[in-house]
Amino acid sequence: MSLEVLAFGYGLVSAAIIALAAVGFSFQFGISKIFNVSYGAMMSVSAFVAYYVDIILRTSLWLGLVAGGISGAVLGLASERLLFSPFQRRRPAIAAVIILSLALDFFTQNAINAIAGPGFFSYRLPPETVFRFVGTAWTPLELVFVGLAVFAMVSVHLLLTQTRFGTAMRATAADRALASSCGINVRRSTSLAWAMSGLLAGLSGVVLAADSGAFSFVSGDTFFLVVFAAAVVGGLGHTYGAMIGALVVGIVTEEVAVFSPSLKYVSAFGVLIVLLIISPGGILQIAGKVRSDVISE
Amino acid sequence: MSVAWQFYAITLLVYFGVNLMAGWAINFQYGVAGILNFGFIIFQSIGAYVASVTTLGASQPGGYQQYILGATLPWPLSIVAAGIAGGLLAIVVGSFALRPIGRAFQGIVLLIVAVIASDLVSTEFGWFDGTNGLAAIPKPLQGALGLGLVSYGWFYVGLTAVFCVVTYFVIRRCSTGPYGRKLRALRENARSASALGVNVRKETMVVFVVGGVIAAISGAVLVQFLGAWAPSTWMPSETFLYIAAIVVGGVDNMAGVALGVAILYTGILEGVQYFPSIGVGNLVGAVQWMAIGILVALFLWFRPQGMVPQRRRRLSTRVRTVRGSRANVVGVRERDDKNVLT
Amino acid sequence: MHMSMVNADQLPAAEPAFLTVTDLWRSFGGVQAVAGVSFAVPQHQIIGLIGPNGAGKSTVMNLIAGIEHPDRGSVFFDGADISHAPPHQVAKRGLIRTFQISSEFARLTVLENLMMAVPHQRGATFWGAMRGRRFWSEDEKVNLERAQDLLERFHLSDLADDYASDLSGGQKRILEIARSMMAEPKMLLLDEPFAGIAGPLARTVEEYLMALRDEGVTMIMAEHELSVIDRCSDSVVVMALGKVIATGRMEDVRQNQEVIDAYLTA
Repeated sequence: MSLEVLAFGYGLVSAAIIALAAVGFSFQFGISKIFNVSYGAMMSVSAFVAYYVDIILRTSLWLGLVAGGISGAVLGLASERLLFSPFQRRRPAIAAVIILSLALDFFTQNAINAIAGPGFFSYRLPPETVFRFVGTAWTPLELVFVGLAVFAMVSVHLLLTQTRFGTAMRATAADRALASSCGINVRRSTSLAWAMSGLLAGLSGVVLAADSGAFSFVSGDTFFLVVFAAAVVGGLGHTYGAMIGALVVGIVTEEVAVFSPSLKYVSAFGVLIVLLIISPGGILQIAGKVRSDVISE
Repeated sequence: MSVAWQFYAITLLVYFGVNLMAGWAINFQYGVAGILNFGFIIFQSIGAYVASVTTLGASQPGGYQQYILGATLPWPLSIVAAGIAGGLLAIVVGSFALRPIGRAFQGIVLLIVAVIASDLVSTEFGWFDGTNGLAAIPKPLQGALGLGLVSYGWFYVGLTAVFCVVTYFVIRRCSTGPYGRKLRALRENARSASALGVNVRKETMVVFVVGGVIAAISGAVLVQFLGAWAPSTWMPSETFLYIAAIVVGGVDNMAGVALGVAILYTGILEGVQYFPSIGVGNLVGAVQWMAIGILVALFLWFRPQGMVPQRRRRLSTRVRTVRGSRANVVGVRERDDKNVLT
Repeated sequence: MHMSMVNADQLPAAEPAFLTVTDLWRSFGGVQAVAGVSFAVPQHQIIGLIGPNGAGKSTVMNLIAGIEHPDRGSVFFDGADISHAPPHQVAKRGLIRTFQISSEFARLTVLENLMMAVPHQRGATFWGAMRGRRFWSEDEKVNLERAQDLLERFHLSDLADDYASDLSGGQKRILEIARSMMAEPKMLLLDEPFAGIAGPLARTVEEYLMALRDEGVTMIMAEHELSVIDRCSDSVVVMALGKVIATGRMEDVRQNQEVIDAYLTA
């Protein structure tokens, strides 16, 4: 069984986890046009919330997953309502918003650090049988994660295209002023979008923690840069693009890990930088499909 | 003053001086020219590493630390080498990071470069001895001066002060007059500046390199005091501390930066030692960071120009006709720097 | 004496125009913003660039100024090919572009805004700055006097040390013009200088621009305000949907059926 093919399988799992977060982040950027670096902290928080529910309260990982998702949604909503949107209304410089999100990021991470300590934690996962399929290896849990990611992507797609809320969000992201004058409640759409992206961040945080085996309060932040890379590769603000970006980054990182495990994340960033040099709009721009940052399909 | 207190004071002062140099450098990049360099720490770090390896002598295969570029240069040259390394790194990084992709993107790209750098150095490639880092870095002129430990400490404080003065001199000259004005114009509106003849990419690169050189020298000064340097010393998050210092102290104001450095480093990071230790050991560290995060957020919200804001440069030499009463003129002055957002 | 507009191909060989735009093409993501635009601008004149919204006027200005690169075609200014020159080089040659909105340096004072525009300042490089105040203070004094003279002329002296962001919209517009004058331009590209200002302020701006023309500055003025164009311009270039549909004097062009149709259907 070739290592490269095996890595491809891992890459798909990676891609699933990254996609969950990247779509959320891309979404958030599309509607508010800010780089929210604290997104990574949201993932860390959800991982710990799930730990609390699973291990401390002794329920199950699935309940933990739900709790993690909810915590992400709450954090996303709260940070938007209480911090970012009010701040945006003061028309700050772009730099100020990023620095603010960094401040929130450090605050949140260290809040976890203060409560839970700097050590590594892990969920109790039963030892599992490994399935082999065309040279790749899977555990049932990984299959569930991929399934969850696919389910989430489909749900997001349906939400955006089939519901009024979704259409309102897309309109708000495309042209806020126009949407507002069409009678769309842009503030509510924005909050909804952040809650949704927070939910995705929360889910991906738990899944990441479970897949990594061990996590600490910095895990979300470290992973965030990979998520960011994927979102940019796909073109910031484009949900489908983020999925493609996640696939690219997920597979590239795992393949590189075959040759040199330590260069795993470096390669993702390398891809990002090369791409930014060629085309700041990401892959979709190269494909000639997009020009502006919009939540689109 | 007891010896312990003297050592403490010496350490505090050297750190303050080093952070002052670095703070002025990052403020030159951000406050004056508008470059959001979230990867700043790697420039300080490369200076530290190069200053180390150029005084440690050639790396011995099988020795306890492996590194590249070993040499045994006399002290001033190791600082020069550090500066050159900082400049070269700035050129390399700037060549792709300073493209016109927007300030926000630039910032995050530079952050990612810092993370990559940290990852790369931490691997087993042996550039600078991986996660173990370098140690036993000789202190400059120690043998030649033959001073006792405490006296040498004060000597080093004086040395750091000299570097600070030179840094102040350089940055001050660059921040005032036509050049400073040109850079600020670039910060305010790059498109307009370009339409008036400013070569935005070239000027941005120059500022990036100058900042990189000074950051590297600050790293060299620090490492030759500490004697050791490892990836844990220069986490990408360290850049945020410098940013916090200028946001709190004052953007585009050298005195403000000094104040910010004093508050953040000496105040928060050192002052916490005097709090009763509660809970687990790391709790204090975590709470520090939370406090810094809140402090920065508060300043960004209520006083984004910092405590000591950019000074208005009054160039007018002609007597202005006073419009109406004196209150009118005062009123104009009140509007000073309120809208100076970071 | 008003010389009428000539197309590039009609120019007598002995008299090259100051600015020549030849067959410019530029598209954005499938939309042809500029489709084969050509015209020539003689020196010391004000040329109006008019047309309905979306005609491509701003894009043409951007192409001339170097902010955008043409897909095809060329731009010659004062004998030099600036088709693909970057904006700062175009500016250094004496072709200065003004912008419609938010182009002032907000956190610099009015005087600093003006003095920043002066070309060839010895102290405005790193090494120049390092050589200290004595190196550049003489130049600085001269520039300062010039700037203050300009402020007086434009009646903005009271605002000399105010931050540019504190100025009213009309004052910012005048600052823009004054600043472009400090750059010692041979030619100005004015992007809707009268947008959003009216009444006495507009008349003031008109006077300034005409005075500048008399002092030897050539201008292209993209404008919607046709009455101003009528009064100020020596001739006009009319664009619609990325093409030039008419050139000539305003009173002639006014009666051109194609022009009328373009405005009506835009």
